[in-house]
Amino acid sequence: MAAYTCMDNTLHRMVKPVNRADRSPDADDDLLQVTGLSRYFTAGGHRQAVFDDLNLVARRGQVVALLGASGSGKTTLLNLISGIDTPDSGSVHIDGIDVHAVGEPGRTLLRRRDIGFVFQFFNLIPTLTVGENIALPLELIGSDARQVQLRVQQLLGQVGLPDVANRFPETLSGGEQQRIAVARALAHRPKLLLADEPTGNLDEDTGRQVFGLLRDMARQHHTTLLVVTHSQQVATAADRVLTLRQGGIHTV
Amino acid sequence: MIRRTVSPLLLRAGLRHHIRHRWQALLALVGVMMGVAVVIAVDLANAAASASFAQSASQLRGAATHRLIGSQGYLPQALYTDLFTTPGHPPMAPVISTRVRVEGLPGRFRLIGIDPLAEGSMRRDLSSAISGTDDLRIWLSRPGVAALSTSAADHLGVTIGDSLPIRHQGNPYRLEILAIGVDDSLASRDLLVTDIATAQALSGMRETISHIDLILDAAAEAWLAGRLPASARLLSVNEQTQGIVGLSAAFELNLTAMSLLAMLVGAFLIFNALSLSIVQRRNLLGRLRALGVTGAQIHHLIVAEAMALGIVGTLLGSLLGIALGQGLTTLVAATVSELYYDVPADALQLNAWSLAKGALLGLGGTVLAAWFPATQAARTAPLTTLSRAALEQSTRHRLPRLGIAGAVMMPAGLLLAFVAPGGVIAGFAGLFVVLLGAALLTPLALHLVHGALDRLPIRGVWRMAARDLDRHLSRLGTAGAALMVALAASVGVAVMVESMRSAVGEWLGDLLSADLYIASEAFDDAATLPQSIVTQAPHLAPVSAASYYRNRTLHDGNRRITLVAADLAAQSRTGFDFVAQIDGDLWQRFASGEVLISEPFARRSKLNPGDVLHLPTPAGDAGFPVAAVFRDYASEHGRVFIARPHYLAHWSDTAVNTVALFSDQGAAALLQAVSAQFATEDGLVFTAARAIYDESMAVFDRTFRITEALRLLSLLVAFVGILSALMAVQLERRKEFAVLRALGLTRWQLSQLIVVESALIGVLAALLAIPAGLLMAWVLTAAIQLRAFGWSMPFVLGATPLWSALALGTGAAVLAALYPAWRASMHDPAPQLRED
Repeated sequence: MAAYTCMDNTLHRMVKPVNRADRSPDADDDLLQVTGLSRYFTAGGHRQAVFDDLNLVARRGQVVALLGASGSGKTTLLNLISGIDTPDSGSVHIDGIDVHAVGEPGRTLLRRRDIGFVFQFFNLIPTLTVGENIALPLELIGSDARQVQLRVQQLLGQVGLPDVANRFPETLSGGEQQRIAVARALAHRPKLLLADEPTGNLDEDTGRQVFGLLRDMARQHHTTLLVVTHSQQVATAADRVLTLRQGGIHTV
Repeated sequence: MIRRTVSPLLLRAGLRHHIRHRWQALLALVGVMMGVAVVIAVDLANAAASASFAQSASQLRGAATHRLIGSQGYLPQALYTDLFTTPGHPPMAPVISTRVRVEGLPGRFRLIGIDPLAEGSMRRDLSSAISGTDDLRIWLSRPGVAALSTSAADHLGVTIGDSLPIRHQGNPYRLEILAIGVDDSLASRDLLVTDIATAQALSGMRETISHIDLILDAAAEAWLAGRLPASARLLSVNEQTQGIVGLSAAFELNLTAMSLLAMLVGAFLIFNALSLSIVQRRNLLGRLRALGVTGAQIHHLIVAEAMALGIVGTLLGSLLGIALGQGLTTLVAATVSELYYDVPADALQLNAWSLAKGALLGLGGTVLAAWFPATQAARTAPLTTLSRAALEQSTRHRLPRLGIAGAVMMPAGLLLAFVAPGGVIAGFAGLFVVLLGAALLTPLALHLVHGALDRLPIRGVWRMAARDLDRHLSRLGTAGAALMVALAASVGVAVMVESMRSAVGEWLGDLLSADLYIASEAFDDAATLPQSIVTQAPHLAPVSAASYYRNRTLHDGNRRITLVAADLAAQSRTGFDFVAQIDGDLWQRFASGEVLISEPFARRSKLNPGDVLHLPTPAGDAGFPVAAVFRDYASEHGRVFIARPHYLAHWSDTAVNTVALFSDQGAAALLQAVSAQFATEDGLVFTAARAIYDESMAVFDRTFRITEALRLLSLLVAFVGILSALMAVQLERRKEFAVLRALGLTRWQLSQLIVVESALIGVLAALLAIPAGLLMAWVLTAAIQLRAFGWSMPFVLGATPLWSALALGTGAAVLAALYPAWRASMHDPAPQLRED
């Protein structure tokens, strides 16, 4: 664990926050700031814009739903925000840190420390037990074994699955797996939670339950939740609804 | 360091992945295991042969620190007498050493004659076997008594008092068993010990002895130095043992290189297995990168997994290597005994250094093989690892770089093999670089062939299979490369052996120009022919011409020189194939005292025609101009031919070992005449050229049995690799197959698709292996054989190795595809279509 702390300290030094004096008065409440973001793809010799000069702000603890048709760039936007993908122009700031100015090691640290993910197809590690899946983000940030164990038990209780710690993911139903994914995403108390179609692979009732759990736990942790969805139901339960259309963001 | 930078949870996840895909992991394990086993088995066998000889020599020399030998292969008895009677002499003991046959038993036995009164502290165990007063009295007074070890007595089936019939150079003799050593430190089951007088009598070494063993310190050495004649050489016992053991160094190095080839193929399997497991886990790796796992952590994780596989494979391989080593030891000991020096047929001696070497290679090879896949996994950005299409695209983007690297490595390897200093090791290093270069070119070749096949008017599963070659290049490229390497090695070794066989056969055919050869059945330097044979045989009615040969082994320091004094008929001269000679009438120069040296001798001694060769003669060193260098495969240490009159002038030795007879009436008529004339002579063999040719080629084939065994092992390792790759690929494509079944592909068509894909890989790997293998054969033939043995030989290309490679490659690939094809066709597509 000492090695992780050492690595953590090293990466922290590479990730420098924006000078608070340069921020606007309301900036302290804004966790996520996307400014002038553009992303293009080349297909068949033609350059096509996924989005162009996109701007987006999300406040701390806010639940933001992002709607859009298939191919509108919702997943691409999440990848750009998390640092998995790099934009052609523009910037993404998470809690004052310019995501794309810190280099790949810095982005890795950001994802490890400040971002949680929930995917449509759960994406649990099949060769780790449920408990180990939840523990993984905690181990990555260097938590000690006792803290990890307590946190895992706490989260399993919160998602309503207190007895499945030693089972493997494939023995659980889809809804149960997505609950575990939510627990994993929040284990390390991230500032930002990115959910890409979290209910897309679930039936309506289960999806409603899972999203409710996701939203409530995010609020409980004061985590900003940005959820990409096709579901109007999910959109209705969000604090803000944005639509990605024709390369731009529109408020609904 | 790995423990601190690899998350225990990640390592656990990785190892469980391998347990879940246990067949894939098992096949990779088998690759490491077999590679390590072959390396250890060969190393143990090599070490056992030389250690066994050294141990046997050590037992025989007892406390002796030095040995005095004659440059002519013997010492005058008078020298010993002079030294022994000089006050202040160091402890010394004379020895006669020769070989005999025991009636009714195959092979030859060593017979040494000692003087128990001089032995003293030299060989306590040996002299203690006859230390009783009565025994000693009998030993000294009764000729023909012998002592032997318990194991020798058991082997011969004799006890004290028994009479043992033996033959020395065909002459019969009887030994009476006086003593059997209860202390088996003599240890050898092929050793007979007699009194020195008995040994002199039966060996005909009147007034001469084989060597003198001495116990010397610095002062004694100085005392001795001023009292030795020019023809005597003083060697430390280690120098002498190393000199003998070094005779087989090149042979053992070749075996080691073949075993390293098996290890290389095994390492390829690790590379293959890890690359496939990374491809299979690409989504998982993407998730981990998204969760904040660094590229370095992924790199360490992959290497740690490989280490775990490597440790288990190495442990199992070590056990298998010890088991294989016993059989190989017997084979190597037999070959070394046949070609170089006698090795007692002892049990395998476990050798920590051999095991350590195998372990190091197994672990090191595993880590090395894992490094590139681990680096690729670590460097790939999270987005790429989440996208299958991007992965294949990234693989195709790398193809030009791989191709350039391969294209550069192949000529670089050739330069290393042919030009760089460093002897045989540089040769083999170059060979491996060439092979690796060819492996790097394989994926590019698959891509290009796919492009060509795409233009052909093929349909159905054939078109789908051809297209899949390119679509799954990241997975199939490595499997194809592994199969290509194994097939290329197989082609290369087969062509090299065939070239060598052809060269040796042609050389023997030219050399054995006489119709009949007369020699002693003992076939060693001391086995000379009776003078009656030498004088009468050429005058028999059917004989039209005769050649005479006298073989001697000269000792120059710890260097041995085989000298052949020849009186050559004109027909015998046509058997020489000269590779270099000075201008003028060559045979006139030979007749005037210049010598002919063989190619290996020229290379080792760095002599060319026109240079002067110094040989130890009874009167001291003498210089002999070199007239020519001839091609000779009789020994990699080489031979020197000198005209018999000039030999007589320097050595005063009229003995003859072999007479070669020519006849216009043919071998049968000669044999009849010779047999009738010399019916009463014992211990002679009359052999037609054809029989010598057949026996020599049989020795050649026996010598290469080991190489053949290693070649087959490499192929087996490659088969395991292709099976592993195909099973992994089919596993990963379950969903794709489910979609194809849903779209209307029948089970039979799906099986066909998998088998045809695999067959295409096999055929392409074989087609690539053929030029790579031929290149390898060229390096083996023209560079390594020359560097190791000093032999040059023409490159002979037969069709058999090429067709074999094609058949083996296609057959192995199709066989390997049958089970995966059956499994894939039997899977229910529905669950796959439901999964993400």
